[in-house]
Amino acid sequence: MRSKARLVTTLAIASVAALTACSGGSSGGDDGGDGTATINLWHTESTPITVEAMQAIIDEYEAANPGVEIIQETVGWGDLQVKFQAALAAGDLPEITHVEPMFVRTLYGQDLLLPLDEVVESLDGDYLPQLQEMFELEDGHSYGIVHAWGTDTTTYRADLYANAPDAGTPADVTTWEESIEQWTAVAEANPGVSPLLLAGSAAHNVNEEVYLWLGSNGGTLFDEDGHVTIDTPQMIEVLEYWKELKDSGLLSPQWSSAAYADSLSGLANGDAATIYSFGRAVYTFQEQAPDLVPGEDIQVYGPRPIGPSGDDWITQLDAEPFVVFKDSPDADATVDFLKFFYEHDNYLSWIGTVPTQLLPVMPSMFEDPEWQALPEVQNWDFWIDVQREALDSGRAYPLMVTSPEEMQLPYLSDLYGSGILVDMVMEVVESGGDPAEAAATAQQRADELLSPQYQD
Amino acid sequence: MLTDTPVRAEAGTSPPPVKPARKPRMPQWFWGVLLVLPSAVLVIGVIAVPIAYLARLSLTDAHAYLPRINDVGLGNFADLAASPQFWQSLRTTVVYATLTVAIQLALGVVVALLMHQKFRARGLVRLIAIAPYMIPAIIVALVWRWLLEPNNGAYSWIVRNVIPGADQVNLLSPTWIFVSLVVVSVWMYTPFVVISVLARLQTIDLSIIEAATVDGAGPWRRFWAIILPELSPVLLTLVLLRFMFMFTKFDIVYLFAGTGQEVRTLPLLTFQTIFGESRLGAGATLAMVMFGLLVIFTTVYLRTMHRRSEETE
Repeated sequence: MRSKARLVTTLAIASVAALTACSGGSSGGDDGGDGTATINLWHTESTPITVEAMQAIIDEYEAANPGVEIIQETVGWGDLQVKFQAALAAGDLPEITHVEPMFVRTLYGQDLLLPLDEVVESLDGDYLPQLQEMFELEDGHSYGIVHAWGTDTTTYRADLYANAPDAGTPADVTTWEESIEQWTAVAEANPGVSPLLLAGSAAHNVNEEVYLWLGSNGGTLFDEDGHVTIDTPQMIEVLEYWKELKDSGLLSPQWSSAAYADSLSGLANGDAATIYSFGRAVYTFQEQAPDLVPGEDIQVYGPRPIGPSGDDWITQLDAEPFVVFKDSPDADATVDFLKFFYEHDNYLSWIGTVPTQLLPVMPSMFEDPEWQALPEVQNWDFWIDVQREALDSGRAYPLMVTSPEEMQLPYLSDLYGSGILVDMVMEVVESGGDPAEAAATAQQRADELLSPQYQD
Repeated sequence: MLTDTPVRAEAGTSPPPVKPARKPRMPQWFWGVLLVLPSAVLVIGVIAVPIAYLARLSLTDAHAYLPRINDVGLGNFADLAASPQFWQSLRTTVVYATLTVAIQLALGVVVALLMHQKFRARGLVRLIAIAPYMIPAIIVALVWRWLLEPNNGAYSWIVRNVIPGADQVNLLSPTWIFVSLVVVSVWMYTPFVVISVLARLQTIDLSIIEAATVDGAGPWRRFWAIILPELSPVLLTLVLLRFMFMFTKFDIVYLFAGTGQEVRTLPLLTFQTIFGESRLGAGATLAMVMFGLLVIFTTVYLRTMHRRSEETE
C-alpha cells in the first residue's frame, strides 16, 4: 500500500513537471550580462518596402553591435490587441511595440513601460512638441516616442465638385447644414456618385467618425471627472446628422460594409466624391486613377464641417509611438537601438517609404533636401502641407480623444473595443432607431463597462 | 537472497547452476497506471486545467490590463442573464446554427443522391462538389466578399447585365449580411454532409431498391420508404454534429461578416468581450455558458448514439 502511494506521488510529480515543462517561459531577451541581447520588435507598418527599410536598419545595427539580435514582426492593427493581450497574459511581451496612443496611458498605469527620455533627448530638441507632449505623463517622463504621424483629411474629387460650380468645394463649407446643401448639389450634378463615403467598414469607421463629429459639435466622450458621456444633445445631433446623410442618399450605401481599400478605390474610380482619409491613399490614386492630377482633380482640406452645437472642428491625429517594456532584460539595448533608429539616415529611410503617410517627427526633416526630393513629397506636397497645418492648429487629436485631458484616461481602449458606439450608430442609421434611445442604451452599456475603473 | 528454487547439493555430482534471482514483479496496476499516464497528463493539461482555469476566471472581474482579480461569485452570470446583448447574441447563434444546418442537410442529401448516380466523370464532379470544404476559411471569406462587392463584384456585374435597371441590393450591408453569411456558410460546409450521406448511400443493399422498383415503387416512394430510413442514423448524427460545429463557428463569421450586431454570435461576443473590452472575467463567463450548452449537446449526441448502438445489437 505504501509503495502504491509512493508511486502515485511520483507520478503526480512527474505530471506536474511535464505540465510545467510544457508551459514554457519567456522568450524575450536573454542578456546575461555578456553583451548579447535579443530584441523583439512589433510594428504595424506592414508595407513591404517599409518592412525592408526596418530590416536594413536592423541589419546595420546588428553589424555594429555583435551579439544583439533584433527580430521584427509586423502585426495588423486589427490583430495587435489580440496578440498583445496574449503576450501580456503569458508574460512574453516584446521589447518594443507600436501601440495606439490611447494605450500608452493604460500600459503606464500598470507600470509596464520604460521611460524613453534618453531617446527623446537624443533628438536634441528636433522633435515636434505636440508629439512629445502626448506621451509625457504625470511623472514628467516620456513613455512613448512617435515613429511618424499624419492627420485625417477631407479628400475630394475636385473634378466632380466642379460639375456643381455653385456648390463650391469642402473649403467653402463651415457647418453641417452647409455640407448637406453642398453634397446635395454634388449628387445632383453627378448622377450615380455618392457625395460622401467613409473609409473602411463600420467596425473601423464608426468609432473614428463618432468622436470626430462629436468633437466638431462641441461634445466630448468623457466629462471633467473622466466619466463617459454619450447621451448628450451633441451626440444625439451627431446621430441625426449621420442618419440624414444616409437617408438622403448623400452617404454611400456602402459606408458600413466596404473594405478600407475598396473605399479608397471608390474615390479613385469616381463612385464617391469625398472621403475622409490619410495620406497612404495617394498610392491607390496613383495606381487606380493615374490620369487624375494631384492637387487639381484630387484635393484635400483639413478642417471638418462644424455641428450646430460646436464652435470649432477636430480631426484625427495618427501618431503611434514605440513603447518599450521595462521588464525586458534587454531594455538598455532596446533604448540604444531606438536612438540608432532615429539617426538621420536611418529615420529618413523609414519615413521615406510612405512619405505622405509617415510624416517626420523631426521638424528639420521637412526642410531636408533629401526628404524634399522624394517623388511623393514633390507630387503631393499640398497634402503634406494640409496635415502640418492641422497639427499646428492644435485641433488634431488621437483616436477616441475629444479633448486633450482625455489622453490621461486609461480606459479609452475599452470603449473603443467594446463596439458600443458602433452598435449605437448602426441602430440609428441602419435600423431606423431613435437617436435619443440609442444614445441612452449606449450610455448605460458604457457606464456598466467603464464605471468599475473610475477613480472616484 | 531470495530464490524460488531450493538448492540441493548431492555428493559426487557437480552443483547445479544457480538460477539468477528473479526481480520482484511489479504489480499489475502499476502497468495500468503507467500506460494511462500519458493520456491522463494530456487530458489534464490540455482539457481539464484550461477548463478549470476558465471556470475560475468566470467568477472574477479579471481585466486584461488591470491588476485586479476580485471574486464576484456568480455576478458575471447574473449580469449576463440581464444583458440584452447576450440574449440577442444567443438568438443570432441559434438562428444561424439552425438555418445553416437545415439547409446543409437538405442540400447535402440532394447533392449526395445526385452524386450517387452513375454518370461520366462522376469522380471529377464529386471532387468539385466537396472542394468548398477543403478551402481555408480566410480564402472563402475573401473570395465571397469580392464576389458580392456591390460595385465591381461578380454579383453586381450579373445584376447590371442580366437585369439592367434593377435595384441592386448591397449584400454586404447590415440588412443583408446575415443572409449572405448563411449562404456562404452553407456553401462551405454542405460538402461535409454530402460526403457523409454519400458514404451511407454506398452501403445500402441495392437488391432492396431493385425489389421495390420491380414492385412498382417510383423514385419518390423508394426515397421515402427505403433510402431515407436507411439514412436516418447518419442524418441524426449530422444534425447533432453540424449543430455543434455551427453553434461554435467563429472563423467564417468573423472573417466574412465582421463583428456587427446582426452577425454577433456567441463566439464573436466572447471574442469582443475579451479582446475588445479586455474583460477577461466576463468573457470567461460567456465561454463557460457556451461550454455548458455544448456539454448538453454532446450528452444528447452520445446518448443518441448509445441508444442506436443498443438497437443495432
